Amino acid sequence: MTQVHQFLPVLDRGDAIGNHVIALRKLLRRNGFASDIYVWRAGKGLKRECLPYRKHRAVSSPGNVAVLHFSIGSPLSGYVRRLPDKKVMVYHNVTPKEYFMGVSEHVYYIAKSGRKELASLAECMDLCLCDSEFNRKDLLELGHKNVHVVPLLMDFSLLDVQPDSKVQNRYSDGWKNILFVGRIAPNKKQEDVIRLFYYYKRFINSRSRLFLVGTPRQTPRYQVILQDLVRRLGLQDVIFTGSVTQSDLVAYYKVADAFVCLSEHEGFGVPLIEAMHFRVPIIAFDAGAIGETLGGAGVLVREKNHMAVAEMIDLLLNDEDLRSRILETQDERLRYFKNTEEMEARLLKEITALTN
Amino acid sequence: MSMFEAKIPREKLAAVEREIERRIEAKKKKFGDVQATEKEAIGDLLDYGRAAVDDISHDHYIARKFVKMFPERDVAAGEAMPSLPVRFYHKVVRRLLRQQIVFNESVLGFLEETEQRVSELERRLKDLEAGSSRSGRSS
Repeated sequence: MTQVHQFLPVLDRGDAIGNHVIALRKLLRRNGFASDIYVWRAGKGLKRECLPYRKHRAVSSPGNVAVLHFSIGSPLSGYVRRLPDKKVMVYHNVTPKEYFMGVSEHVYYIAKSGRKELASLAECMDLCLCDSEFNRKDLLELGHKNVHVVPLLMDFSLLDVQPDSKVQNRYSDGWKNILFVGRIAPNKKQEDVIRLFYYYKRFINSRSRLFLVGTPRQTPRYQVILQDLVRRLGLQDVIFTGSVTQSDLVAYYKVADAFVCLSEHEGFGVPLIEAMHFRVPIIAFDAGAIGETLGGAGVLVREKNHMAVAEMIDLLLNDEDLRSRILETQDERLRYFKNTEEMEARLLKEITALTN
Repeated sequence: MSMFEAKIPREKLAAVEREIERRIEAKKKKFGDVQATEKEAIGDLLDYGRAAVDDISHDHYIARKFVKMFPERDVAAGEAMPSLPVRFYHKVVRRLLRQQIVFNESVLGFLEETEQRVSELERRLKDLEAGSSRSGRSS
């Protein structure tokens, strides 16, 4: 039986890459491949889902396939590079180091070395897969060959869990709730979402709140900057949720009236798909792969004019005709991502071509 | 170019954008220059990206962090002198780390020179191949 094993630095709960890896393992096993997940470190409660990467040596073979998920540099890259197995890289994008200047020296240097590592892997990969044309261009620029776009596998059943009743009850009070989901990180520009919310709350609708759902673990200093920004603007009702359970996440989507993304660098943007699933109208800045992922859905913003975007949110919330038209565009786009059979077939086709 | 893009009838989007402009103008008349007030409140808080970062490798950065973790105490300024074994240990670690940094930098320098020489040789090879194919065609 051909073995197709996956490698990633950290398997974490609630992480888009982690969910994709688990979904891919299910797919591979369903199609007759022996498949395990090998990691450098397992996240909390996930030790049973994966194995330490050093244990892979016992099953390494030229007839097998090693799939390296790359989003950050790690010792796994060097390990996979030296394997006799056929090698596939699934590229999830390395955030440019410049975003971390003044926020985290540590992450700055990790991003810097990650990019170098990514370039050095070009000569040994048999196949590269990425979830957007934006990521594909990135790889081609670094010298990678045989690069194909295959959308991220999403397990939509994770979005059908029971929403947390405390969150739902607390925030279903007639106020307007604006939501952004994503790690607290400088490339995601939560600072712009806060500035936009300042206009919305101060000059349009004071009965509103902003949820920033995401962990600050990687760049805690950025959250300190954001909290200082909130204080300087004299803003109330900005809620930093930190890391949340799946049940909490679903609840935040259910109480949200609008999803706003002003990120300046995204390799794909899983929360955009989630917002579509929960029929929350989306307004997003056209950067990175955002426009590509939206594919005409939602409202795309070309310029960060906070006042104009705040007014657009208000119109979306109050102009029923506009809102329903935008939601229709999102429903149409969502059908593409929910066509999991086709996504899975495309992914399998690329991987099995290597095994034959 | 329109500020917003959406897959809705063009007239509808245009009407929405006109309404947005009207609202912004109305608010400016009522509240004055709100952007200036906002910018004053924020100050230079969002200029964090202008911080300087040294152009060194990740390994060098980690090594420097460790050296800083084992600093020499300034006894003359009143800092407590650690015990002899601790002082010895710190000294050894600092020396090893500095040697590692120097070694890494010299290896890096050597690698960069080698890369440049390889690029130069590849360029010359291309030129030679281009030259010999041209002379092949002409005869």
